[in-house]
Amino acid sequence: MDFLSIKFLLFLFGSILIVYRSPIPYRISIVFPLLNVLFIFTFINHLTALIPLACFLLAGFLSIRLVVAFPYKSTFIAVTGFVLLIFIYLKKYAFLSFVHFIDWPYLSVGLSYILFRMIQILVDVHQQAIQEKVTLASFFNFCCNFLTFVSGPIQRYQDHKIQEAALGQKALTETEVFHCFSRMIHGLLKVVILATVCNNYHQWFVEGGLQGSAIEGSVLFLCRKFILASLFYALYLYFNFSGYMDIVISFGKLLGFQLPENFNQPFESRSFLDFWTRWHITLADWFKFYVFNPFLQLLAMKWPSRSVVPYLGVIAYFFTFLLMGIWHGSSMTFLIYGLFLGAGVSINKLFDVLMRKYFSKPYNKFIDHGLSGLLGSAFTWMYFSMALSSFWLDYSDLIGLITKLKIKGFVLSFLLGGIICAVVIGLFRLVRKLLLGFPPYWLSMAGNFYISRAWVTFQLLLVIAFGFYGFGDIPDFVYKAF
Amino acid sequence: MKNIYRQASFLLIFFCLWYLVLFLVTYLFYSDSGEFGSYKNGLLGKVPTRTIFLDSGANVDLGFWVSQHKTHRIILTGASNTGEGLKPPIMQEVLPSDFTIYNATMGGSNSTEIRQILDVARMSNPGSMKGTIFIIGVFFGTFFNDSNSRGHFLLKGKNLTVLQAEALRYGLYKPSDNSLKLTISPAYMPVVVRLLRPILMWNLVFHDIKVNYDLFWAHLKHQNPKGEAAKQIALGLWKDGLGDIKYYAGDAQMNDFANLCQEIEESGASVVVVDLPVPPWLHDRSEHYQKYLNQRKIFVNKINALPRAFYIDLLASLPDTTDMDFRDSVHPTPEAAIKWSRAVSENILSQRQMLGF
Repeated sequence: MDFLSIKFLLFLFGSILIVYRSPIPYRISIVFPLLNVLFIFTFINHLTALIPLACFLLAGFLSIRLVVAFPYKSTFIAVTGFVLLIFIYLKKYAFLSFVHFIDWPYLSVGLSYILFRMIQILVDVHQQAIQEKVTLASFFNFCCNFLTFVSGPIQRYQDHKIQEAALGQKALTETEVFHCFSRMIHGLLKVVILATVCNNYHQWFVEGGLQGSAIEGSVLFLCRKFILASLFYALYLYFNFSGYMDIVISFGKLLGFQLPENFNQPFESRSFLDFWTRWHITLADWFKFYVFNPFLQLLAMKWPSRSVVPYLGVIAYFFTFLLMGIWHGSSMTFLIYGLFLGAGVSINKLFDVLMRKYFSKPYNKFIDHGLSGLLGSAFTWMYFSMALSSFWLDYSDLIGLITKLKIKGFVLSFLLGGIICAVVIGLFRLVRKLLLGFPPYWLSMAGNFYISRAWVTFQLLLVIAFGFYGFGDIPDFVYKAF
Repeated sequence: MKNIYRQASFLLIFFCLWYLVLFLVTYLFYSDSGEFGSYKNGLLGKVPTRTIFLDSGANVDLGFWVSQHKTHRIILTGASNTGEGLKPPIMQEVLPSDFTIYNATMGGSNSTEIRQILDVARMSNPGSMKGTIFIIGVFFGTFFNDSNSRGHFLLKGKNLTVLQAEALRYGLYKPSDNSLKLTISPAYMPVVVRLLRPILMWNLVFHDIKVNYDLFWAHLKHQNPKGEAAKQIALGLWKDGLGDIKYYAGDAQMNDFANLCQEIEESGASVVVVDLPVPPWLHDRSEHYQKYLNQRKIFVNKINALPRAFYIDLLASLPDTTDMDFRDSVHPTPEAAIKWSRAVSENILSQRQMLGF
């Protein structure tokens, strides 16, 4: 189901009606699972498309039962490996070209996020952080919650259970309800208008010299195209993804779910490490808890010296982000993406460790300075935008571009792009400061009952009109593919 | 739940109020169809003054449902050179006053898109098409294969013409056998189309932003080649745009076009096919043009055999046409357009008995 379709919006509104209208005892046991099943059914044309997903879920559930029945480390490692193998098989990773894959079309939407949820339960059950019995219904509702099925946010099982129990029972105030609707429309505005405009610019720069045989011209020409295509893609991805999250989180709130936030002003990041506490937060947190921490512990056990730990952190960061990059897709380009991310965080961490060790005082002074914050944000964005080129270039084009630009071209792109970002972010912050400096009377006007509702509905009208205008051009949700 | 209902109702009411206000505002700027095809901004303008419904032939899916014509109507179809070359106000001076002329031309259109315009005209006029004259402007650029149509680039991978893409936009049509079908009853169409006015006005705003933005960049990149360089570029563009000479203007396509004219005629309308001139310099230098000259007799003979149809070779009617009458490889200068419009109108007038008015 296209998440910008009337069908999707009707489903969401319909689900609110059904949940609130159904008797409380049946909400978790019947209504919610049925809504989840119905949602999954909207993605398929034939029942056979569900078989791999059903097998994957069943394997996950049986694995949890095995970990409970045999609470040994070996059982945990074996079943986790087994679940991972099924996932890798179903995702058809490029390095498994020798394997015979299932040849009929099947549903792969949401697989990655289901894997995250399964591993979270497996780890927590193994570590006895989850002590209650995980029933098939609660496992299914958690893994296939229609609000988070496509691409998160990734919630913890324990949090999900608490909120599921209160499904449709939380009395929302009028202001809270209005904020939900307002955020939903704001999300639509991001997805329909801002993401479409940014994607069109991105396409324009890509088609103008960054694809196939068109990758030619001077290094400066290619740098210019590469910088602009990368920056517009990053903006497009941000509006597309965060807009979708706004819609999902606000609908969740109307149903009584307090879904975790996935974005927290990523433009304010002061470094690449800080960036990952603000961008796709639930994914970064998941990798922190279930990959970084165990891996760092493993390294620390091998090299127990306290002075080495910060450097082990550098290695753990590299490994974690390399893995996170590879998770994004099954082709070789995502290995390059992972290398980009791994290099970014580990260099950032190493720089931080060394500066704190040798220049602690001036370094602390430096990072508190406003200009360093601006430059940090700008160069972080440029680096991340460049890393994202793995999302929009296929492997041969990416290699073609790397061959043409060489290290010199990439460094030049990074520096020039960083300066552009610094100017844009600086202007953005200045405008925001000016707006916040408006007399309180004007600001209170924005909170007026009639003005706020008129403004929100005006945005909705704008979204609908642009939706018709951009018919066929409005991009689908990017993270649906992962 | 009560709060959800209350807030949803508030938002719905505010939304309807906005819609109503914008609906009324649209009438301040655009009437339903009064300016249709006119050149309000001066006869030497390149494009007709637009309406809220009709920018070009691509928008007939809406425009035809709300247009009010007098006893007779002329629907101009063809590519941009028809739109620029045959100006309704000039034609109106020559033709009787009970004629309404619609400029339903579409840049880069081929015979498939002309057929789709006819289909929409038929749908919006479910009775007989009697009293309608289709003027179809053709030239060597009309007969390229659908696979070369620019429309195929509009919706990537969806294989739609520009007109189809426009028609599918509001959900009032669905694609059917290379043409279109209505999704709602024709009786509701005029009301529904009018109800879209606030959306259409926004679309015009978005459209203008995009067009002016494109023009701005095009202006920055503009190199304005002249003389032989410009001719070489034009020849290259035509060669690419019309595709492989082997498949261009084949017998089947020419017969299809003749059949299209016959279909129009059988629906009760009359057909005038106007072969538009191209600059003399291009005659000997385009193999596509040469092939077209050889192939056009296939449809010319068939059209002339139809009771309410005839063919005009405008170059033969205006033998003193020179390169100076063109602003590029196919579009006439505004002064030449006035000559073209008069010549076509006089030809139509001379055949008034045959055309039934």
